Order: sequence, then structure tokens, then C-alpha cells
Amino acid sequence: MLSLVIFLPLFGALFILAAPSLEEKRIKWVALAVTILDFLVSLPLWFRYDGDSGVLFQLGQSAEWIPSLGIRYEVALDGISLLLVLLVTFIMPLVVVGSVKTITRRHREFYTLLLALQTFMLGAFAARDLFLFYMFWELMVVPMFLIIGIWGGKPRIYAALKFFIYTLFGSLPMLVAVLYLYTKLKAQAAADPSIEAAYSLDALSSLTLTLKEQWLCFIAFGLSFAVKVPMFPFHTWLPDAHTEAPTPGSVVLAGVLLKMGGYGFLRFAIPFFPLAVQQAVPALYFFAVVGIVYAALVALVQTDVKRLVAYSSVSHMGLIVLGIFALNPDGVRGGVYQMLAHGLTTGGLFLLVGMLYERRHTREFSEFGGVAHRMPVYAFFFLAITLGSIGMPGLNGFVGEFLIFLGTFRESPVTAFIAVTGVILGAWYMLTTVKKIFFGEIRNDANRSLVDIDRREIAVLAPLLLMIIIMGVMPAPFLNKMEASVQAVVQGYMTAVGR
Amino acid sequence: MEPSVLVSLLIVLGLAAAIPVVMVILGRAFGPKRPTEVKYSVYECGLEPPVDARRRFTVKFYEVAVLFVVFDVEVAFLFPWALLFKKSSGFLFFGEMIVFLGILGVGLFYVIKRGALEWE
Amino acid sequence: MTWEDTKSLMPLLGPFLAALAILVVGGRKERGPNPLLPLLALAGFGWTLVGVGCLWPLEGAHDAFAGGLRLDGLGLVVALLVSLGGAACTLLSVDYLKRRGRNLPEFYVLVLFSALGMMVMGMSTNWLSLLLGLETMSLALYVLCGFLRDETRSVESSIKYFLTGSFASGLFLFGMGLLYGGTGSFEFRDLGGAMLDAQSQPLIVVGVGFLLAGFLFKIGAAPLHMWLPDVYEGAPTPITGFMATGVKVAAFAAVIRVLSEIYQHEHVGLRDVLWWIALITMIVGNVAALAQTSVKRMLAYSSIAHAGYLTIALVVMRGAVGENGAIDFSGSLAARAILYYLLAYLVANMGAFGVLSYLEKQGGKGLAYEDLAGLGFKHRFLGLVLSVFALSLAGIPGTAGFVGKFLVFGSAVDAGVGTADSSFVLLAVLGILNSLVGLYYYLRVLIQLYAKPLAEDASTRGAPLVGMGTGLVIVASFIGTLWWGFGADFLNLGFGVEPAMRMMQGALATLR
Repeated sequence: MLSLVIFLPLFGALFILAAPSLEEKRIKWVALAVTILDFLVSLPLWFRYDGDSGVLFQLGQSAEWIPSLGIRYEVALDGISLLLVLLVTFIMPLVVVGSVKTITRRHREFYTLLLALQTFMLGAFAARDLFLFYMFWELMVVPMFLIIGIWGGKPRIYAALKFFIYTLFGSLPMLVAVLYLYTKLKAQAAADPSIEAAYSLDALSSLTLTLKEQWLCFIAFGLSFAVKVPMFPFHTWLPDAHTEAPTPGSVVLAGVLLKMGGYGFLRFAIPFFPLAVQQAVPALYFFAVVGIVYAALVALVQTDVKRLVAYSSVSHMGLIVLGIFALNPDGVRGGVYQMLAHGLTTGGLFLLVGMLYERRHTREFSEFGGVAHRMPVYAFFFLAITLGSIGMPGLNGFVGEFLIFLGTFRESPVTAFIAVTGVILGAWYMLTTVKKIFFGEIRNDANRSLVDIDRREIAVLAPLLLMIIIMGVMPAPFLNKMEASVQAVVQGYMTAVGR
Repeated sequence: MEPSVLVSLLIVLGLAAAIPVVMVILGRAFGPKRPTEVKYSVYECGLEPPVDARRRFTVKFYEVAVLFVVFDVEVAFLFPWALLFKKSSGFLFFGEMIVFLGILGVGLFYVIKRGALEWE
Repeated sequence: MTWEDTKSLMPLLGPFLAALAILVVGGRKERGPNPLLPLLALAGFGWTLVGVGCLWPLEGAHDAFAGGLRLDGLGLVVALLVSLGGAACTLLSVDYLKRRGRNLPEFYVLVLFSALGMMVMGMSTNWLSLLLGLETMSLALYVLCGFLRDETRSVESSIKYFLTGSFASGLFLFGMGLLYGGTGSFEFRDLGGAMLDAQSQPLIVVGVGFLLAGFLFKIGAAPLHMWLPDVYEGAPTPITGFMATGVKVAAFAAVIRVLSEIYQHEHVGLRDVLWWIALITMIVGNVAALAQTSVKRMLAYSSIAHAGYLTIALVVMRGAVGENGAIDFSGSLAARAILYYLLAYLVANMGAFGVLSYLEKQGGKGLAYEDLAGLGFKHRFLGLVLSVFALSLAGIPGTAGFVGKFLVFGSAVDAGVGTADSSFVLLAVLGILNSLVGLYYYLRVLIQLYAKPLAEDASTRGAPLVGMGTGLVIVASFIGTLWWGFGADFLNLGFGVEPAMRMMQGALATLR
């Protein structure tokens, strides 16, 4: 079941690749069908996952893979990964619909890569074997690299290379750490027959590491996740990648790929290296807060809408890291919730910016003004999703941010206070953006002929907005699903550090 | 190996290198030198050479020479084989040489077929 | 020779008989291409493959020629890899030579003989048979490098390889001589014992040094790599592929045998020397590959880098001496990593050179990065497979190259855990940083294939159809690269990562 959800898109990709008689025009329909089917197949996961059963990881499947190295194919979901998997399957059909106009050439390659990317992302969220996770983790980068490199804007090759090298610079040290963990476990298994030497996360949980080892491995893992998030000193790839990526690429990147970093912290870094995390928390706070405020300030001075959204992404992701490393139930809850919320709102914003770009082929603020006169429906969606992004109560961003600040405040009021300024700045630059683009008189003649969004575009945005509102007014079902897993993360950490 | 053996080896090497050098130097130093025109000419008898000695020969000479060496050297293996034949286990020992000669035969066959032995 | 000896000859007989047959059939004055000849060569390699299949799994080992050759698991794996590479080279050459108008019987004979030499190297257990194998291989390759004798670069490649290669053989011989002086024996197995003898130790140390220099030369490890780029670039492309893979397979197998003797005594400083060589080789290969404009030359430098990664595993290799002095390396992750890495490198590299040999134009042109521009869309399949090969060489998960790197770095970490010495883990980290550098030039291939527009004269580019032999090699390498990258043996058919891993493990159980 879970494996079907994971690999269905890959089969779709192979089908598209291997069916040369398929017309270029039909390919997008195949891709759409595959993604929708995948979403439908993934929906039962939500209902079958029982958050109160006391069993953390459910719906699992496993098979022998490379026994001589202790590697298994093992997938399962807990509350956190369940929600993220559903986020992926929910967002991908919208991405496909959203890319119809943007992608005007090389359909076959594009949809092949997009579907393969979906499989890799789902696999990374569901993997319960460190090797399997690492494999999906790195594989994810390849289709994204090509999507940016082939369909991107002008300096796309630079942006694509920067993206690839940056992320691999992060994840290659992680490989050494992965190997180290396994080897260490093997050494301990030799002394204690009750321990099994394997890459599976269950086996690795019985590993004991010294503080120094924890630190080294945490740096290796953390670097990888921090690049992906991206956290403050490692964020510079993101604006380039986002700006040059085609709209669907940006949506996937912002909507899902960045969440990998936060997910990695929760799933690997905190449970495996609690002692190192405990010592690193002040530094992580520092970088997260600097990231939040710095990125917000940089966003203020952007003249390109897409770049602005990219920087707002960095700022928001800093918030997520802050919540996760508050390491109390509220903070972690908020972090996970914000991951989902940010996936939807930022994904939506990139789609919206893409729609505007398709019409005017520019993203400069100075080119716009008064667009609301010509595109009222578009303006409505833009405003609504923007409000979701800046954390207006009643929309999804508010729940996450509120919980994050609740959690952070309990640990470090000063940090929470500084981080709030980031959110205020966020409201400032986002609303300024809306004002500059949509209101006032139409000064630029090119904007007079703008056409409002059509039914296809509404079909993309409406489900997003619906989810944003649902998650804003009814956070309980989502929070319930993740509750047990969040508690497990926090409890595990507390026990390990003896608090 | 004993270090003393190495030392004596070194001494022999040194002597072997020194003696010719010393002899040449002695000859230079004490030998009489009476150069004449004739002594500096190319030959002390016969004619002046009409062309340069380092001419290009046709490659066929080399081919034949190489082939001769190749097939001639193989004969070296036949002698020890013949000497040991009486003491040998018989058939297998005989077969080995047949195989060896067979391989040589294939080589010869190839050489002939390729026309390496034809002069024109 | 006894009847028992003939049994261990079986895998070797294939290429040998095929070579003789080609000499008989193809030796005629009119030099037209004869379709029978490549088939004969393939039959020769097929014989070996079938032979390996029949003999595997091997119970114990067979020594032949008074200990000169040893047919054991390692020998079989070498025979398997070399004949796979040789068969691929033959298939590629059919199309390649046809286009170059040099489809001559001698080519196949030489490929078969070089493969034979490689197999002998992999099976040899004394210095004489090792030298025999090495020289058979090298002499054939010297000629093959210059086979396109109308092209300056091919001749240059041949002469450079010959001169430097002879020099390496000289080093090798001198090392052997010293070792014979030190041990009084030509057998590898007498090396370990003699090293404890204080009197012969200096001779052995110097001898091993020279020997190692010879080996490092052959695999192209820095600082003995200077010849490699020019030779690889000038040689006919299928031969470059075969050289890069087959020679490595043979040399590393022989090195494993020799080091398995030397490493019985931990006090030797050989590991430190190899540590630096691995590091320097990786850096030199990767950094120089960055600056290349020709894909073929880039692959040549990357071959140096791969030699460096493989050397990491040599540094950390560690085995067990069992009963009766038998040496068992089946527990050594590093030795297994070397073999698996070689397998992965073989499939990806033969595939990549297969694509290049198809793209190459007269005079060795058409191999610059720019010549690949936009090809990924014009020839979808070629683009796809070349990307996969590049990603495998770069070590991206899902490909055989990743599993190889995973094992190599894993073995380095494995050796470092539990000891106070952190230098092994450090080497793994340095290796990984190097592969990050390497990523850049492999990605350039992908960028050219997909992100650059098709060149102006695209319509006239390349031959219209990939020949059958080339196509077969490319498809097989493609499948192999993915299959040994993540293939799982769900149906117990003996394919995928795990069976290959087990095979490599079994191959190392009976080194002595």
C-alpha cells in the first residue's frame, strides 16, 4: 500500500519515458492522471493511520534488500511523515496542472522528472532504513537539478549547479556519518548479541554514542539538513534556485523539498544525537533567528516578486527550525504544522507569481500597479494566500506560528521576541507587495490588457486555498495525527538529556 | 645476504668501473700523438664513401630479421625438453611440446599468409 | 604440467584459442573486414564467461604450474570482469573500426591477448607469472593504442605508453629482483615470512617499493599518472574504455594478492605511503579533470581519480590468516569494496566510452563538451544512458557507482572505528570531498546534454543509427549500472546487489 503510493509516480515516469508513440500533448494528461491517482491511493493512509494506537510507525512494509550489508527495504509512517506524504501527494497534481502553460517544450522529459521526483520525495519521507533514506535524499536532487537547468530562466545553469553542489556538499559528509553510525553499531553488536547491526532506524536506536561522536555526526547530519532547510549561513543557493527555476520547480522546491531539512532534524538529528543537540541549541537559535530577521530584511528590498517570495521562504523556514529546536511539544507541533502550512502557502505564492509572469514576462514590482482592476479573481487569491503566509488568524500560517512562538517563548523569551520581529517584517513586505502590484492606478499600459485567471488556474488555486482555510480553522485533526509522534520526539530527547 | 658479500660486490664493481677509465686516461696522457691528414680521413683504405651510411633500408630486412629471431629463439626450449624427455611421464610431456609447436605453427602460418615472407 | 593444471587453464583457453583461430582465419593478404572475426573473439570471451559460470562457486582453489597460477575465486572474478570488458570492447570496435576504415583481424587478436594477460595477472601467485601476464597485456595494449596509425594522436599515444610502460616494467622487474634477493623465492607466499627477517628486510622494503611503483604506474595513480591522459585520449575509444577498466581489474587483483601477504605484519609503513598516494591521486585526478574541454580526456583524468578512491580501500584492507596459513579476505569489507567498485566502474565506463565511440568523428573529433550540446533531446536514449553513466561515475545513489563508493568509504570508516587512529575516517571524509569536486565535471556532461541548445550543424551530427554492437554494449551497461545500483534479488535469481556482493565475498576466501 505505502510502497504503491511511493512508486506509482515512478512507474508513471517510466511509462511516459518508454512510450514514444505518446503524443507530447497527451503526456501532461498522463502525468495528471498519475498524480491524482497517487493522491487517491494515499488518502486511505490518513484514515488507516491510528494516532492513538500506541504504535508509532504504522502501515509499514519491508523486504530483504542487501542483507550482507544490513540494508533492508523498509518503509513506514508515523504522524509526522504521514502528513508530509499527504502534503506531497496533494500538491503534486496541482503542480502538474500549474505547469501546463509554463512548460512549453520538452514535455516528456519534464513530466518524467517531475514524477520521478515525487517518488524520491515520498520515499525519503517514508524510509525507515537509513541507507534507503540516504538514497532517496540524494536522488531527489537530480531531477530538481535538471528541472532548474533545462526549463529555468537565463542564468539557470549557474543556479542549477549551485543548487546541486550546495546540497551535495551538505549530504556527502552525512554519508560518512551514516557509515560511521552503522559501523559503530556493528562494533556494539559484536559485543552484545541483543543488538542487530543494520541500517534500519529501529536497530540504530539501540546505538550509544559518546558526546564527541554525537557532535561530529550531528555536524555531518545537521549540515546536510541545514543546507536543505536552508538555515542562515547556507541559504544562498535558495534565492538563485527559486528565481531561475520554472514555476513548478519552485513550487516543489518550496512546497516539499525544503521540508526535508526540518523532517531530517526531527527524524534523525534529534533522536540520534540528543546530547549534541542540547549543546547546540543556543547556536541553532542564533542562526535561526538571524535567518528569520536577515531574510526578512533582505526580502524588504527585493524588486523581483519571486525573489521576495524566496527570501520570505528562508525567513519562514527559520521559524520552523526555531520551533523544532524549542524541543517542547508546542514548539515541535508548531514546527511540523508550519511545515505543512508553509508548503501550501509558499507553493501557492510561487504558482501565483508564475501566473503573473506568464502574462507579462516580468516580475519587477515597478512594472505593475493596479492589477486588481484587471484581474480581480487573481487578486483575491493572491491576497488570501498572502494572508495565510503572514499568519493571519483563521488561516493555516497562524496556527503554526502561534505554536512555535508558544514553544520558543517557554525556552527563551528573548529569542521568541526577536523572531516575532521577523514575522512583523513579513507582514510588512508581503502586504507592501500586494499593495504595489494590485492597488492604485494602472500606470503601465502593458497591464491594461491583462486577462484574469481562467478556470484551469482557479482549479489549481482553489484546492490550495481550501486547504489553507481548513487548516486554519480546524487544526485539531492534523494536530491529533501528529501528537503521538511529536510526544515521542520530545520525550525521547528529554529522557536522553535527563531533563 | 651477508653485508660483507655486498661490500665485496661493491669493490668488484668499483674496480670494474675504474680500470677502463684509468687505462683511457693513461693512454691519453702518455701515448704519442702524431696526427696526419691520412689518419683523419674516413677510411684508411679504399674510396671516399659516395652516400651517407645511415640510409633507410626497406622494412623487409627488419621483418625477416625479427621473424628469424622469433622462431630461432624458440628452439632454445626444445633442447631442455629433449634432455628431460626420457625421464618424463610420457604422453602429457610429449603433448605439451606438440601444443607449443602448434602455436608456433599457427604463428608461422599467419606470417606466411600475411605475405611477410614474400619479397616483392 | 599435470592434468590438474589444465583445469585451471580453462578460463584462459577461451581468449587464447579464439586469438589463434582469428590468426588462422583472418591471416590473408587482402585485408577486407571479415564479420566472422569479431564473432570468434566474442566466442572466446563467451567461453570464459561460461567457464566462470560452470566453475562458480569454486570449492577451494587449484594451483597450477607449480604455484605459478592459481584458479580461485579472485581469479574467476577477474576472468569474469575482464571478459565482460573485452567482449564489450570487441562489440564497440566492430562499429568503430568500420567507421575508421581499420577493421583488421589483428585488432581482435590483440584485444584477446591483452585480456589473456589481464587474466593471468589476476591468477598469478608468483612474480614470474605476474610479469608474464603484465607483459602480455601491456605489449598488446601498446599496439592497440597506436592502431589508428594514420592519426598522429594515436601514434603519440602508443609511443608514450610504450616508453613509459617499459620504464614501469623495468621498475617492476627490478623490484622483483630485489625481492628474489630478499626472499630467495619467486612466490608471493614467501614474502610475509621473509619480512620478519631483519637481514633481508631492507631488500624487501625497497623491492616492494619498486614493485608498487610499477603497479601504481599501471593503474595511473599519482605521481605516476603523467602518461595516462595523453595515452587514453589518443587511443581508439573502445580501447581506452578497455584499458581504463581491464588494466585496473588485473592490477588491483594482483595488488590484493601481494598486499594480503604483506599486511600480515602490521608494522610496515606501507599503509601510510598508500594513504598519501590515495589522497594525492584523488586530488590530482579530480582537479585536473575539472579543467578539461574534451569529454574523453575528462574521463581519462577521472580514471585517475577512481584509482585514488580504489586506493583508499587498499589502505584499509585487512584480512585474516586462517588454519594452515590460509589467507582469507572474505571478511574484509575493503577488499570486497575494491571488487565491487571495479565491477561498477567497468559497466559505467564501458557504457560511457561506448557512447563516446559512437559520437566520435574522424580524427578523434566530436568529443568536446560542446559537441554534446542538446544531444539529450535529439537522441533521447543516448542522452539518458550517458547521464546515468555520468551519475554512476559521480557516485549518485541508485547507480552501481554509488554502491561501490559506499563500500569503499564504508570500509575506511570501518577500519577507523574502534581504533584511536582517526586517519582512516579522515581519508574517507577527504575522499568524499573529492567526489564532490568530481561531481562538477560529471554534471557538466548532463548540462551539455540537456541544458544547452543543439548546435547549428545538428542535422549532420553523428551517424544515423547506433550500430548493433555499440547498442548492445550501451544497453547492457545501462542495465548493469542500474541493476548493480539498487537491484534487489526478490526472486532469488542471482541478480542484483546482494548476489554480486556475495560473489565478491566468496572470491576473497581463498587467497592462499
